[in-house]
Amino acid sequence: MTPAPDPGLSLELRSVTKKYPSKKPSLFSRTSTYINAVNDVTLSVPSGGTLGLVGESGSGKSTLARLILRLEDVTSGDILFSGTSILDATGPDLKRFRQQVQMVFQDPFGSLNPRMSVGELISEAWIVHPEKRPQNPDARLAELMAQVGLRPEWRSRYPGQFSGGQRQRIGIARALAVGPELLVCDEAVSALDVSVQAQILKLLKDIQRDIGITYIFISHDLSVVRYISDHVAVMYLGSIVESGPAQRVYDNPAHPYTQALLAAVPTFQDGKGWDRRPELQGEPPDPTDPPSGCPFRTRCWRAQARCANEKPLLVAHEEDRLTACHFPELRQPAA
Amino acid sequence: MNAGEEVLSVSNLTVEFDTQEGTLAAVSDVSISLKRGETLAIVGESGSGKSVTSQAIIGTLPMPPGRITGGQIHFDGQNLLELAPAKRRAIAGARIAMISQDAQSALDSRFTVGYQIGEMFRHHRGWSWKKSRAAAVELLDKVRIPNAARRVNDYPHQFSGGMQQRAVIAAAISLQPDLLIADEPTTALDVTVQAEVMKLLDELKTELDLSMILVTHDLAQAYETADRVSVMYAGRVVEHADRDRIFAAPAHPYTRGLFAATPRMDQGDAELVVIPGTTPNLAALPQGCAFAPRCPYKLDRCAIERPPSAIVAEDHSSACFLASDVHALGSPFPKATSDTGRRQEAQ
Amino acid sequence: MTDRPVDRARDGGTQSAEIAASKDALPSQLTFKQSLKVYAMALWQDKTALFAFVWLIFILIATIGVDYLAPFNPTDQSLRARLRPPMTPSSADMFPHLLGTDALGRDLLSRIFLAGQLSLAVGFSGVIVSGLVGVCLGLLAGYYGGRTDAIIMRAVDLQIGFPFLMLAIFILYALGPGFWNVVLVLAIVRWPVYARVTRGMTMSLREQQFIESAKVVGCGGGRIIFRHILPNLASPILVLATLEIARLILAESALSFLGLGVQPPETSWGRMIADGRQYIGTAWWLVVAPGFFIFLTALSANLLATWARAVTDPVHRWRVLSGKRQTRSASRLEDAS
Repeated sequence: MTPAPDPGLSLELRSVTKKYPSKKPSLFSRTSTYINAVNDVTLSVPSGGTLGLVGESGSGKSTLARLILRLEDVTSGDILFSGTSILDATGPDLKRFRQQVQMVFQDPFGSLNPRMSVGELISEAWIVHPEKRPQNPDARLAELMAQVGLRPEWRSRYPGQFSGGQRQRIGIARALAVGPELLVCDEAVSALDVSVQAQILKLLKDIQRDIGITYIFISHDLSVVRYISDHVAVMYLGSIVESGPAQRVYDNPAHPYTQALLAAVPTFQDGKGWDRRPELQGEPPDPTDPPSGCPFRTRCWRAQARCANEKPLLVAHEEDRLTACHFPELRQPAA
Repeated sequence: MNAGEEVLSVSNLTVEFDTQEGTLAAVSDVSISLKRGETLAIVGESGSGKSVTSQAIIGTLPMPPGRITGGQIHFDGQNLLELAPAKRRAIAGARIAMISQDAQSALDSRFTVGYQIGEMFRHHRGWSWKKSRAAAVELLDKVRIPNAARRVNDYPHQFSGGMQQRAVIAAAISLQPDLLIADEPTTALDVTVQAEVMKLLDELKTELDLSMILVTHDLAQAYETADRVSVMYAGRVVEHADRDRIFAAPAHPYTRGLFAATPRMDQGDAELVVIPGTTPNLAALPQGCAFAPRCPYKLDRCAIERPPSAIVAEDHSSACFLASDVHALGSPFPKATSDTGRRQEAQ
Repeated sequence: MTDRPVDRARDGGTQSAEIAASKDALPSQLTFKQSLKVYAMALWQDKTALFAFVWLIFILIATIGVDYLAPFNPTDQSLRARLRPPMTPSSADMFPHLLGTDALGRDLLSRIFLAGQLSLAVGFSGVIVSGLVGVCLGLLAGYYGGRTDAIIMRAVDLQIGFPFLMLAIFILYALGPGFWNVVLVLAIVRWPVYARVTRGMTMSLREQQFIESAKVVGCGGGRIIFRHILPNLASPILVLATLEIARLILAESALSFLGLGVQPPETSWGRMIADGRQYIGTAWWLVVAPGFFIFLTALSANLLATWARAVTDPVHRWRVLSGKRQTRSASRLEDAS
């Protein structure tokens, strides 16, 4: 069964799975073991909003970003952008896709070619996509730089002469140059100082308000995701365990992992934070040898026999809200 | 030492570094003090000098290019900077302990975890191989590593990131130090593991009657853990107060700005108030207040004169000409917009 | 206080304020002229490298301008002035034969300058040809990996395992000796060096985020390789090329000495040693003088390459420039403690 694409959706992932061989088959052993970096992920990203993708290290959130951008190939499943599959796109189709989906990277120092000037970096997309070249490239370049808070006269400077926050601005301008519809931000503010992080977050919000672009915002920082996202999806060990509108998920997390994750964030509330926290058991499992059934059951305080035998499916328990748990904690949203 | 007694007192510490761009003061005129059983959080962004200060205290400052050009560090009545290197190392090794951000590089991958913790006893106390190993097992147990007796023979790479940091903590508390310096102990860890490590540190602190310096960039973590907070900016302490005072009514524009710029889950998607500009280049600091170019309340004299530290309330000081005015603004937080707080209380 | 300044600016920063504030934090921009100055200073502080640099410049000028700068016409023979030892006054000129004369009475110093033309030309051409081939193949192998990589790297292994002299004898026997054939032999022998180094660096650069960024923007393989990877390899490759010039000058000398290199009337430093060999008992300078030039030139190129490697690394450059200051601060620290 293949559901028809929804015109309101920017991006749709259907049962996307990515396996990496954890050991190469060698002369002596023909069989190879695999790590399920992304495991049967189904997700839809509405147009014009921001989807926050949260998870800890090893949750597969960055792999998912790379799959969406076609930096890696999926093992199975399908990815649809504006209703068409991007997986088989080649030549001109792939080029068009590259104009529509862009990315802001995590590392402000490694993500800009140190040998290219700011002007060259931002306008490179117009060389690769001549049809996107504006009539007056100089004016457009100045406009883009001003839009992200850079002085247009800095165009001949090199990335090494800028601070981390300014480099992220350059990265954003570079991504915006082709006028994309979807921007994937992979830990885009994680390497920045608090005061600079706020500038970039605000800038991203302003840009979205001005040009109506869609964001997928990937981060391990729950506070940042709360600030910028309308919708959130929580990943654990390659699977999405919970998703829904940001406020409702943060206020009433249904999945025990989401609950533990949210409770673990230090807050400015009275009393020691750890007194409120559910005790997680043990260590995060080894991704090459994931637990049977529910991936979270080894650390879950609500786990029962059923969790070990049967993998919970991601099901809707109220409108827009999906949880992959046999025993979700459902409560009425506060009136 | 008794409770309430001063364990550590740093006065007018200045640390300079030789760099490509010339000599710069990574830490200028920093004074902090710490009472027994207390936790002091040093909060700051990159280049604020928070880590350099802690390195100077424990004596791991890379010298050269760094050098201490002024000030004193009194620990238990002795000025550490005047001690002979061997004596200082003995104090630093046994009575002051440090855990750093990068647990992986703090452990030697060629030796078992148990060997490395036991090494502390063999080296400092001359214990036998067997006795120090038993002590290592006990310590691993204390830092909540399951199956300590078996895991003691594991190599660091067999430990997860959180367990590595626990092992480092075990080694740090092995000689029952008086002072534990935790330099961004959880920055490299996942959120859930972070919470566990901070909880462990807090419990150990009470259990072992430790004083602790927590170096962090995370205001909320400082709030949860510390009794008192020093905020550093461009190598100087710009504000110091006990935890409740500084969070209720910060008296320095930088502290205030930092609060307003930190996204908070309980604030939902309420707008952040941004501090413009970037953290300053230490090699080209402005003449007056280092924060002046980014400060919304800047006066003309801020560009010329460096504001001295002013006392706005008991145990609350701020290096700003407008300290009491900023203090009078009260809480930096807008009203909560969601019911996250209520929910968590109900849990 | 009626007007509390804190009330003035509650809303934090507008975009223009942000730009104004961040300007102060920017490090000053290094212009081309300034960076040239930095290199000149670094060279001045390292006297060994300075000597090497001066020697190479001298050799370059002397060999290129041999017609104007040589004390004698290098082809003028004089049977009366055969095999004169160094410093012999010349009969025709005020200027003495500084390095003596050869078996045909030609001024040895002038001959060395003339021969240097060919030695250096072989060195430079060999480096350019082998470098072009090696760097291109290394880029392909490193960037595409997989089968491309396997094929190219097996060729490298094969080449490195093959005896140099046997290859040279085969090729030069088949094609006959001569300038371009010598260059060809040297290129075939030396390209794997570049290929290996380039491949290694390309593989590590390929993992950098800015390469991913280029892919996401839509750059094709060619643009990524030549616009994004190659410029970042330029300085290590240039250092390697400087080293290789020294190697190739030595290799050419060896080939010419064996009679496989350039043929008379053309001459090179190796050829001069070969020609002078029969007089070694009576006129040692015929062997020693060109040998000394080979030695000094190769040594200088090596020294300069070592220096360039240190200086093009920004961290290292600072250490080179501030060597003195560091020791001083170390001693001051001991005083303090």
